[in-house]
Amino acid sequence: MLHGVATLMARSLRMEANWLRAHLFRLVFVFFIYFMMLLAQVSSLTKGAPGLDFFTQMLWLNGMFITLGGISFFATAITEEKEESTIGLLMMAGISPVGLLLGKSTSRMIQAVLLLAVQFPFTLLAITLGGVMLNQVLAAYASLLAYIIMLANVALLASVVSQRSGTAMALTVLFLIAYSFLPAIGPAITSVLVSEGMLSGQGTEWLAQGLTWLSESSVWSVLFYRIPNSQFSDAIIGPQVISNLVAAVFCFLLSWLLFTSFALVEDAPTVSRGLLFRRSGKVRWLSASRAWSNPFLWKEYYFLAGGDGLLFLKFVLYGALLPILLGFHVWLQKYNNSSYSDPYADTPQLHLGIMIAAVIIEASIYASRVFHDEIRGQTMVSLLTLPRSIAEISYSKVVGCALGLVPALVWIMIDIVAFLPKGISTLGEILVNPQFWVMSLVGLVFLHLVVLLSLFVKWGALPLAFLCTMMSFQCCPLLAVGFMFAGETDELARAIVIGILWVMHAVSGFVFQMMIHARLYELGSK
Amino acid sequence: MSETQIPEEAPVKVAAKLKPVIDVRDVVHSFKGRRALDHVSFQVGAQSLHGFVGPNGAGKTTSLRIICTLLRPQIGSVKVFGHDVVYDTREVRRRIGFMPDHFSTYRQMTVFEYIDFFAAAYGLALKQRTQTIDDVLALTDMSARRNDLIGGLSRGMQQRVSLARVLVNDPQVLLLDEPASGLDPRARIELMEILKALKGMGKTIFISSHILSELAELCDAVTIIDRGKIKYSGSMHDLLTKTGQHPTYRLTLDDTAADVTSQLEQLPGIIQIEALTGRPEYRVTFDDTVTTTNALLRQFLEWDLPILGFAADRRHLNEAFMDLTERGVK
Ligand SMILES: Nc1ncnc2c1ncn2[C@@H]1O[C@H](COP(=O)(O)OP(=O)(O)O)[C@@H](O)[C@H]1O
Ligand SMILES: [Mg+2]
Repeated sequence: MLHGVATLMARSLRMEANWLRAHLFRLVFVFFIYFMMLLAQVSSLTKGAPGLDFFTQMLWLNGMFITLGGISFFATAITEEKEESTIGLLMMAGISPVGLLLGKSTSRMIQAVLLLAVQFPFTLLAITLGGVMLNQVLAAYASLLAYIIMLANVALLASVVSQRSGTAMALTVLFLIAYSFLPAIGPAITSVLVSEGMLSGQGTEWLAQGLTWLSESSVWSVLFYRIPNSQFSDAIIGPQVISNLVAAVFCFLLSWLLFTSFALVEDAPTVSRGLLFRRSGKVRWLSASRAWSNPFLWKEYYFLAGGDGLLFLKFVLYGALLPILLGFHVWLQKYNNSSYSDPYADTPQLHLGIMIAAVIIEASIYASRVFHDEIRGQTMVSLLTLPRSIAEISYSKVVGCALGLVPALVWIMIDIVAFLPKGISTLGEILVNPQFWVMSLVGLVFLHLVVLLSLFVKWGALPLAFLCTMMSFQCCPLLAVGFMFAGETDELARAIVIGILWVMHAVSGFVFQMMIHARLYELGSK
Repeated sequence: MSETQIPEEAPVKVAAKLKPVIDVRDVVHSFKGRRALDHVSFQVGAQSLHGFVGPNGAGKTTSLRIICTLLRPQIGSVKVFGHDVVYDTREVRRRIGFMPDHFSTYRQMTVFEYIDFFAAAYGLALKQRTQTIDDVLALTDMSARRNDLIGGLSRGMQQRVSLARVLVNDPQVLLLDEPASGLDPRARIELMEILKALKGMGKTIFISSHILSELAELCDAVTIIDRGKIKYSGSMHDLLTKTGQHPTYRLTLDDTAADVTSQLEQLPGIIQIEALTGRPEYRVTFDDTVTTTNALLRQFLEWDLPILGFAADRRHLNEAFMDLTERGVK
């Protein structure tokens, strides 16, 4: 059995590690860290503790990257095999469930840990920059390490119980939301519950105890509040490390236990169409219409964005968020008796923020799938032999995806026009603000990058694009400086800086489009 | 002299003068310095069912990708109906239907949606589409499955859906890359029946395979490729009769028959008799300049052999193929 595990693990490691791209990726990562140090050095000319600056940036970046990357990287470990129906084959080759779990998931965990290891020496250098102590660095890396191990195993559990990668990722995201936000909003809820009289005595104590424990096990409070504190003197292995490791072991054991009953269920490869029904079915009005005269648009609208049914559902759900938020706001305020906030004015603002975030997230997901799905299904060939240009097909597909953003966009408009005081005039101000357009361009370039990367990597184009964007912001001081100046009052300086930013982004957008075009053609000939 | 005055045999002459549908001239293509195609030239005649045979890695897929405009030839030219694949890409794409060697279908679509999608992509209007879809589904015998999800179909059916998709723009020439590989015998036979029907409709079909005998009955012309070099290109009949080999027939006798090997070896013109072990069956190789099948058969009847069959041996075809493709090794 051990032999089988070793083989499988060696195989996945070789496949992923001996891969030139992975090395390149790590190299780029190291360079990036080096650049951040340089930046910290430069900023030390004006500020006190560049080491601490650099250090906190590193922690933030690592936390974000592990979280974003981990979701797709770890959660697909087992579902990938399920989707390709290769689990049975692996089992027949004499690999036991625990071997499979170790081979598939643990090798990925090692990959992530390696990324942490390559940067460690640099972070140690932060000590020489001043403001950071060795025990802080050690504690931070112990805490990140424990977080990776927990995330990998939670995602593994999700991967074992789900049939499809999408479900596994969604489960992992749900867990992360609970893990990150419960400690933050927990105390507020408790105080409300207590004053409402729903909770008293022993119950309160237990709940409070539980919440304290939860917040202690959160990597975020450790990374962003405890460790950067200059009076940091906690043990290197704190409660967060221990609790996360315990959770990891628990999840791994549970995955092992559930493996036979979940992962081995021989399931005919199911094809999911979401809310899109077949024309022959009962719910005909929710079926795809006949192909439009631009069929590429039609296809993305129905088969990626989900069609009428999903759009309607999204519209209703996004709308329902508004009264829910308002109710929650009013409820909270009743007990906090703070008079500085007005729920009726604040809630639409919050809703607007959530809708904007929804647009960004949905757009990123569409971008990472619009061509990636064609490549995975090996369907690019039949598109490329059509008497249509790659550009025509690509832009049609993009517009089809954009239709999926309509519900969120409509709610943004409703929020602005109907609910926000002086919404329309504010909108006018925003629309003439060049900074807004720079930000929009940044977003567009980001989406281009997501598409481009999705044509090269098997999974994880989205977090990779996120990392690259962060890196370019960090590595290209011009950009950061430009953003600082873009808010400047000197009209001329401002116009010049914004002009430069515009041109830079337009050029990179154009270059990305050319690269996407070339890559699509190349993929067609493979 | 105007053309109307040409007498009856004119159609034959015109047909002979017809330009080849696919004209591959001296194509060279390398991947990272390794030659996949080495000065490849061949023609595919109009309305023929043309086989393209070679072992794995011979360069079949590469050639097909070049013909269907997915890959640009590095040297040489390829014309389809006189249109160059590099300069007249769109014209070529309008006239061809290419079926790749893997399923290129959207699993989450129904058969109807999938065909409808491609019909629209070829620019067919809605009204026209309904009729076309009915036609291609009827032709590929998929009408009953039109509302099934493609992901739930068997391999043979998925292959027929792919074929229906390829037919949707009514292409004059079909390029099929190993359509029969991975299909069970039944699905294979059904596929071949559909191809015969398509040929009857006047389409030119260029079909690749790594098994020559699979195409022997079906095709009227064949091109054999090995390691990027063309080994043979011409009619199937010529390949069977003029490869420099002697014809081999298989004589099958009733189980009760005694061993006749030595008797057979005495006959004039016989080169080799190979008795198959375990049953009274013989591979008879003869010199067709000395004797004929009729003469042999007459002799067998005279001896009153209990003949069950006397027919061309399939293994001969495989040997011809091996012979052609192996020459490169030496
Ligand atoms: N995209 C590619 N990159 C590198 N080599 C390739 C590529 N496609 C094909 N080849 C090589 O070209 C040769 C011919 O391949 P192919 O045309 O696919 O053969 P066939 O279809 O006859 O099996 C093979 O040696 C193969 O390894
Ligand atoms: Mg091939």
